[in-house]
Amino acid sequence: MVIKLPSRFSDNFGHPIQSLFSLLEQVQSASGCKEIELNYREAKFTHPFYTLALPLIKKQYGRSGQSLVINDDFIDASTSEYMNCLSFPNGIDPLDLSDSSFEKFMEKFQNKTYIPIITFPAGDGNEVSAIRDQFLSAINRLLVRISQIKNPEMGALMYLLDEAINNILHHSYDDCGYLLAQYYPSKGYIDIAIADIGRTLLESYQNFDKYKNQINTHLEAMKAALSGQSTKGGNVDRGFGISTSKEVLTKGLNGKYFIWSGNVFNIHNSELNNVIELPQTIYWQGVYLCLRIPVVAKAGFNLYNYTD
Amino acid sequence: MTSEIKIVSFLPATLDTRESASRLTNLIKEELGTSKKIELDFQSVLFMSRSFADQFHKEVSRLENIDLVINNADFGIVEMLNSVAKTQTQRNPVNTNYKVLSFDNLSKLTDFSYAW
Repeated sequence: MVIKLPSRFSDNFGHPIQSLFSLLEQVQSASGCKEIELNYREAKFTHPFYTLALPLIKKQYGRSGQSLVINDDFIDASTSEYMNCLSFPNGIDPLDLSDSSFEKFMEKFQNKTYIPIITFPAGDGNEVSAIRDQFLSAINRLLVRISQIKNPEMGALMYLLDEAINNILHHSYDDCGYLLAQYYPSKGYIDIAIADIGRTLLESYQNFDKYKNQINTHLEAMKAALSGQSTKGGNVDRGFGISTSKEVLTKGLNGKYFIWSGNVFNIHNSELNNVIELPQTIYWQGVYLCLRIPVVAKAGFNLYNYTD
Repeated sequence: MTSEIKIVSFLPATLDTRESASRLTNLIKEELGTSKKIELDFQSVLFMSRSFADQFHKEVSRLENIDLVINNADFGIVEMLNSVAKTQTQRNPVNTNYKVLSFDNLSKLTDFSYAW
């Protein structure tokens, strides 16, 4: 069974996301076939929100025994070169790089407008977390250099990235998280996709006795997450990540925020804030986050007005 | 006796995770064996995340007999530490002003997604 993937995406924030929903619907319909091929050969303009999902869908379905291959023998030479630079589809794992090659590796992207697919380790050990810290810091600094932003936008960018990554590290209960970013200088924003294929928000809440009888659907889990109920036990001092990030991004920067888990997502921009329940077949195992971060904030923006 | 800990000698220039906050407090605990006054030098630290600040605040507040001085911290670091200090026991109301919609097929969602 071959599923032909889109060759291009518009600038519209929703287009790659909507295309991702369609893809999952098609994959779900084809599940049970011996092998499903995602044919990306005709791609000309890709988008990080869509691109990051492909290897993760492959991995998700692989875990349940469904063979899925990505045909990335791109016809267009410039697409092939670009996707190769993004390390598509496998990504870069910092644990595979020594300290010296890691520094060299990051230097390669200083004059680019993107950060390749990064597979960041979510393990708890001291050594792993120290490597992860070095890597996250390098990603933060690289994104700032690529987009040439300064405070207060620099602080906001780092805040959004750190909150998203920390949420994944502490909630996914999987071996890693994934990140891909692209800066669009002429449009004045950075698009970042950050995802995991570990626990859904619902599974995170159900891990606590306190929530077991209260939060039983993906919709209830999304509402709880948006209202700041921590999946780390519900203390008042935790659970700020999603709610404060949404405020920073949509109110302070006029950006756009999308979070998806299970069959429910939240789309939030300066004009709308909707929680949407999808058909059960369009399902993300884990959390999928898409951020559109403008590099120029509203006049008078102060990050710390939004952080408590 | 005073001990000085230069943050960027031990941690990256951006303080991103809870784990790195725990590494810093472990270092402080080691220094507390010989000094009660600890000076943290934040020179060249670019950013402190909320997660780092929250973890650091929690762990340091459990330490007894410590005289902690923060040197060379920029505005953002001080503000982040202030933010987490304010939210340990209470918090501001969260914006839950959203609409809930449900779609039983994708074609209905397509037009809607153009507004995103």
